[in-house]
Amino acid sequence: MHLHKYEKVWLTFGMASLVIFLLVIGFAAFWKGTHPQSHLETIDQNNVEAHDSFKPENLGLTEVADGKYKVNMVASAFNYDFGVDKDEKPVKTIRVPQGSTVLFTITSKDVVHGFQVAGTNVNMMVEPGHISRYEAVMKNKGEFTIVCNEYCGIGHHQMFGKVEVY
Amino acid sequence: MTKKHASNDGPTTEASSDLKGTFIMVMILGLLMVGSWFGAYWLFISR
Ligand SMILES: [Cu+2]
Repeated sequence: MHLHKYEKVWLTFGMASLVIFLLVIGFAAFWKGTHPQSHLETIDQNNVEAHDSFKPENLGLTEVADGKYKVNMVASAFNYDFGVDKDEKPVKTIRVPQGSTVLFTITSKDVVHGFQVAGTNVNMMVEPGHISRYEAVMKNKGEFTIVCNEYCGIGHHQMFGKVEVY
Repeated sequence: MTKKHASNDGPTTEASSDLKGTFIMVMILGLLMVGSWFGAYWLFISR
């Protein structure tokens, strides 16, 4: 079979890209441990309070070490439960200092929700029966809106919150 | 009437086909794809 010189060039380019991108996926999965955020743990969606992370008093922001935080949350139609503040008011804003490492842990009581901190890499699907986790370093200062990006029903647009990095 | 082009008895045009334009377009497309991959990667790293 005769191949034009140019054809050889672009076939090589195409096949090399395929191999390189496949290697990148393998590297991300097997060396860097990139997996779906819900791959670690399952939970009874009708009794999320039974899990230590989702007891009402454990919801919201906790400092676990110097510069290390965790945020436990429960998503439901149509609200994110970040716990309550000292006046018993529901928390809507999570404030962390710049450069801190934050582990977001979330589950759903009812349907599939989304959890995205817009403008950061924090973006997960929240499935009933699964616990989703994502650890991120908050590199940049600013206010980032939390949005539900999985259509979950009539009040979908009312699911939001805020992360403030100061 | 001339018979100049009628005497082609085989795929002789293939060897001399001009693929320069095709080559340029293929490479532009390829670079666009690779470029957008690195664009997304840069976003991931910078955030
Ligand atoms: Cu939702």
